[in-house]
Amino acid sequence: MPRRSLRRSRPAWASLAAAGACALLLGPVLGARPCRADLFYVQEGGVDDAVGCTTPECTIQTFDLAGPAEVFGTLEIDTSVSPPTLSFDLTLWNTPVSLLEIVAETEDNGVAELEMSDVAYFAADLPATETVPDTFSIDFGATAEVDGDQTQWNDEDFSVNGTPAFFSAPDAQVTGSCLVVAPGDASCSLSFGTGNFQLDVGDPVPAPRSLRQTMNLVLLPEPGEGLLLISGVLGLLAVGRRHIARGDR
Amino acid sequence: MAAAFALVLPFAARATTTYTLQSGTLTLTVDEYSPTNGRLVRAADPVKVAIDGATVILDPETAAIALLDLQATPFIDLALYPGTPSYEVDAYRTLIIDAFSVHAADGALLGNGSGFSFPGGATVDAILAGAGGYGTYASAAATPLMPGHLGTGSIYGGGDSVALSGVAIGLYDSPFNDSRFVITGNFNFVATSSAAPVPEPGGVVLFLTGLGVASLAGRGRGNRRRKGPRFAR
Repeated sequence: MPRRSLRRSRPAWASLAAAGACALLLGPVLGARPCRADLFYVQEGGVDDAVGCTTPECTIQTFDLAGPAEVFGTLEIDTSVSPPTLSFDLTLWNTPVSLLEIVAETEDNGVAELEMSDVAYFAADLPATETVPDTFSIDFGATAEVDGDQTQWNDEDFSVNGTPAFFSAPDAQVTGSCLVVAPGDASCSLSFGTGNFQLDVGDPVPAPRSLRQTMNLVLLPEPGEGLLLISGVLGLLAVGRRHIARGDR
Repeated sequence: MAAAFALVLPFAARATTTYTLQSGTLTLTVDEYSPTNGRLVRAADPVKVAIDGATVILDPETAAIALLDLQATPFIDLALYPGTPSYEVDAYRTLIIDAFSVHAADGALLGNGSGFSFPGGATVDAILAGAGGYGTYASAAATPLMPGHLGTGSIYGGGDSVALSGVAIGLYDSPFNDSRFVITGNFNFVATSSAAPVPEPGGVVLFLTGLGVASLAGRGRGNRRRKGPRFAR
């Protein structure tokens, strides 16, 4: 009987050992950041700076952001590859990015306001550098796809230049950095343009204008991820307890 | 002349240009992280302030950005959101950013001079103060919790003026409690060369050599002129 009990209790101890090993493996998820792909969800923030300029150097700025515009979507930092990569798939919420003429009643080439709505910002696997621990900077030369709808308004509130219309900047320059403050919590800043982010603006003869949009985001882990993790650990503990209970009987 | 050569030759052949601020803005965004509840939240509305001073030293020949220095002293009051730990726990309603500065040296120009990075890191400093229901917190240098971060940025122009864009991030102890502030500064500025480029030492050597040759040639011609009538005789 004692021998049998010992034999039966073995799987219980094995289960506990497995649970312990699992906890050790999961430990890094809860503690230090392991080498893996972390998927973050935008919790707060959006486009909080944007300009329109006559040239990419932006020495002459003609448009400025009217107010912040929130975004939603995901951002992924993959540290399991070398170099680490950064991907994102972001979309504007309801508020459009509205660029107003710098001085009221002084249109730029016949345009007083440039409004961009339903804008999507997308990039996959952009190489990044971890300059200091948990801080990632997108390597120079990266590009992102920015597209959406645009409407150009004059001072009389008439849409001009054949807008509303779809626009697309498939290779907009993107720079930016992310700081992973704690496992699962990150602050990210992304800047699109002015390189390769242009729109023809104006009426009756449109002229190219260089754009830049900067967004600062608060990112949290996938809502389901934490629940899955907790339920998994609880499940393992339950199995372990059951095995121990069987062994004690 | 020998003394001039001795002075000039030890220097490397480099031509740097120093640019100083013409105009620019810094957008400050503040997030607060509380280790107590493990949550990161946006702390206040982002603000755009003027940059008060900036210096950039470029050396296009060696594709180097020797220095990037910028300071803003906005003395700006940020109204903290009610959901932040500082507001909820300690009744601090206002975070005051007195100053934000970035200092980085020994960087590299990237992409044919259209980008820059500082692999050696940067110093990102902030001076913070606070005010709330229980009083005020005096202005003091924020304690950084990590080395400052200066992300890869873009640079346009050259010659007489350059335009730089980039982002600097600092993580600091809260002046109020055990939470932490992430301060992100997105900067865009135009800088102009403050003076004529520092003369390239190699150019000075060439100039002195040319001067020496010219004076030797002059002396030779003078001798020939003196000799001339003798041969004519």
